[in-house]
Amino acid sequence: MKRLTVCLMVWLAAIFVVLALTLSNPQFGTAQTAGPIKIGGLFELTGFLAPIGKEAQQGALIALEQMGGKLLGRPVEFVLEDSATDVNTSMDKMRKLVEVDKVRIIVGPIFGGSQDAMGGYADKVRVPVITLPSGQNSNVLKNQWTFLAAGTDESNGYPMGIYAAEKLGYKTATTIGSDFSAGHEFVGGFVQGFEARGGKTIQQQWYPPGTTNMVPFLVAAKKADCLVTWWPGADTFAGFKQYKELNIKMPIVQPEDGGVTCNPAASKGLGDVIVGVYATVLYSYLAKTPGNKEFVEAYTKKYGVPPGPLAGCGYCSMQIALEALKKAGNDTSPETLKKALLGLKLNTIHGPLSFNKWRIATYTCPVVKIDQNLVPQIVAEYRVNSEVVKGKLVYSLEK
Amino acid sequence: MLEIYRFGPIFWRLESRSMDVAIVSILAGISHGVVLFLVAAGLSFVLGLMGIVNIAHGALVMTGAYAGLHVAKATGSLALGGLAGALLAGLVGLVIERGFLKNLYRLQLEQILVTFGFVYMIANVHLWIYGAWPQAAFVPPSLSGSVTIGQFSFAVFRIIIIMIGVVLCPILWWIQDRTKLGAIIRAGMDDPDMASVMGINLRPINIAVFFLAACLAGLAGVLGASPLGGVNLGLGQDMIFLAVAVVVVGGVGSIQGALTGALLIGIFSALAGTYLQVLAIFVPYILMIIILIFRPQGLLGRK
Repeated sequence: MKRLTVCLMVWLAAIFVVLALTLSNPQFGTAQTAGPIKIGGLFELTGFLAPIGKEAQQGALIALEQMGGKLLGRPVEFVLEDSATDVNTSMDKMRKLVEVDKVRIIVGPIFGGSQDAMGGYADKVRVPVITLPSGQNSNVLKNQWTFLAAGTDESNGYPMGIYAAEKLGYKTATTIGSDFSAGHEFVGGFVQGFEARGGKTIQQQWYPPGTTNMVPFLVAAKKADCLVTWWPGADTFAGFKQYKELNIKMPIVQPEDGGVTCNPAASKGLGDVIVGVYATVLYSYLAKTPGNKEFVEAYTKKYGVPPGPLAGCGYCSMQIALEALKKAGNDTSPETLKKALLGLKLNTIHGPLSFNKWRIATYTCPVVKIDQNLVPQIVAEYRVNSEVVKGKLVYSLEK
Repeated sequence: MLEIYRFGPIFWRLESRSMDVAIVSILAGISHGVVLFLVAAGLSFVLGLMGIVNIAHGALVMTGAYAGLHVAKATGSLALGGLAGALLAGLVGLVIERGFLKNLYRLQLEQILVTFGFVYMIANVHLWIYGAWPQAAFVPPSLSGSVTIGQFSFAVFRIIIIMIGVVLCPILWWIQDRTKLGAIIRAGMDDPDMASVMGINLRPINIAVFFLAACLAGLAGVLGASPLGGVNLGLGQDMIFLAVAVVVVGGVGSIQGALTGALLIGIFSALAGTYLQVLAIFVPYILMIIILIFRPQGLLGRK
């Protein structure tokens, strides 16, 4: 009996010690509803997408500043990581954000390969990822926790095809695009829109990523009413420079500007060869959308140039993350946050924005024409509905 | 007869266009090949003489391109830009060789690790100084014109690059094959121990060759920036893989080999881009594999 009492006392003491240690931990009981709200940021601060990754980060920071750094009365902690424009690094950094930093939502990245790789992990850990620019089809068809804040790549190429056929009157098109998924999808969106309005794509060329000598592809382009190019980042410089050298007369249209042609921080370097180019952009600093004027002023004041397309995307994605966290309130379950995201109806710098059940945002996509001063003037605005029909993404214009 | 008359001119126009496409592609390939030659010649000699695998050689191309652009814009002179680019790349090369690689001769794994580290360091220094956006290349107004080839134009500057190659290649060949310095370099490549026994001090020769190789890389950066679409942080990275393929195809330690390999890869890549499209990416490496199988020392490499 005495032995039993001693044994019981030892067990009680052990339980008391464990309870005391647990309760004395400042994190205990407060991690869910008190302390900072953590948002992860995964941006391409180095690597080949560094120029636009940095811009996206700057845009996101402006959104945080305008919000005052607090949400639901709690400070917001923005944990920023560099994805290095590399799939493996992105995965490592995402694991760190989720497992070590315990962020509730992630904003970024830009690079499609990283988005694709992260999607599966996001599904596993149930942490929503708000992509910066448009996303790839695989994020819709394979994953469940990736939110495409600027639609799909195809949904951005689609209105350019519509505009080229309907407003510019082009009947035929020849395309040149970088041979990776984003290239195929931006150009593919153009082709869908163009052919839906009676246009004909007579040739499609794909150049290997890393190609600097575009001459062979440009000279092989068949004569058509327009030359459709998707040149990401530095490829834009090689492409336009060599197009000019060869004195090709076909007008260029871009089913997304590669983050460069319509970017005030970079377009000066391209010179007058881009005058007259038509492009769809993920965001325009000239858009007359709610809050855009204030954003452009704040950004220009801080960084000396108006925001480029990715700066706008960074701002908008952060805005979405903050609003969703606010809507979810103190309920910190991942499902509540996902439900909050799916139920958002926001007036953003992208215009009215909401996600459909496939997590694709419908937003206002501008078509621009570069004027003599290299300013991308908005000539049309489209709102594209995206839906999955029989396992494929199908697009239509919002009525 | 009527049918022939009607279709004849169309057929001729098609053929004429095809010819224009082929000529422009080949000329673009030659100009690209000359830039590759400048990069690969240095890489080839450093590998042949010193046994050093310099992965940072591409970063030196970028160093030259940025410095050359900066000076050319400030002075309005491409010649001064080329000189500045070549000299700065040469100096950075000297720092790498004297500061690090001199202790790592014959230790190829260590060489690769050290020079790979320099790729990142040099790129980040440039990111810090010049920012991440690519910059348009400098072309003097007098060289910014073009010549008409059928329905296309071809940039005069690309023709100038080809001419620079035509002038530089015989000079480098003459130094290699007809001067005492060249004889010492060749002796050093064939049998460094024997050269030392004969009283030849290879150390200053190694330093000079490394410096000159880096200068050529810098010059390639300045000249290549325009046809390759501008100066950016990935410029050297894009070129180093092709330059390695050039060295394998042409052979190590030979100017003629570097030129042959560079022109073959430049022209075949351009034609493949035009006619095989996305498969163009494989062409230099398929060529490299074929050479490795049938002639491992390269087409004109030293045995």
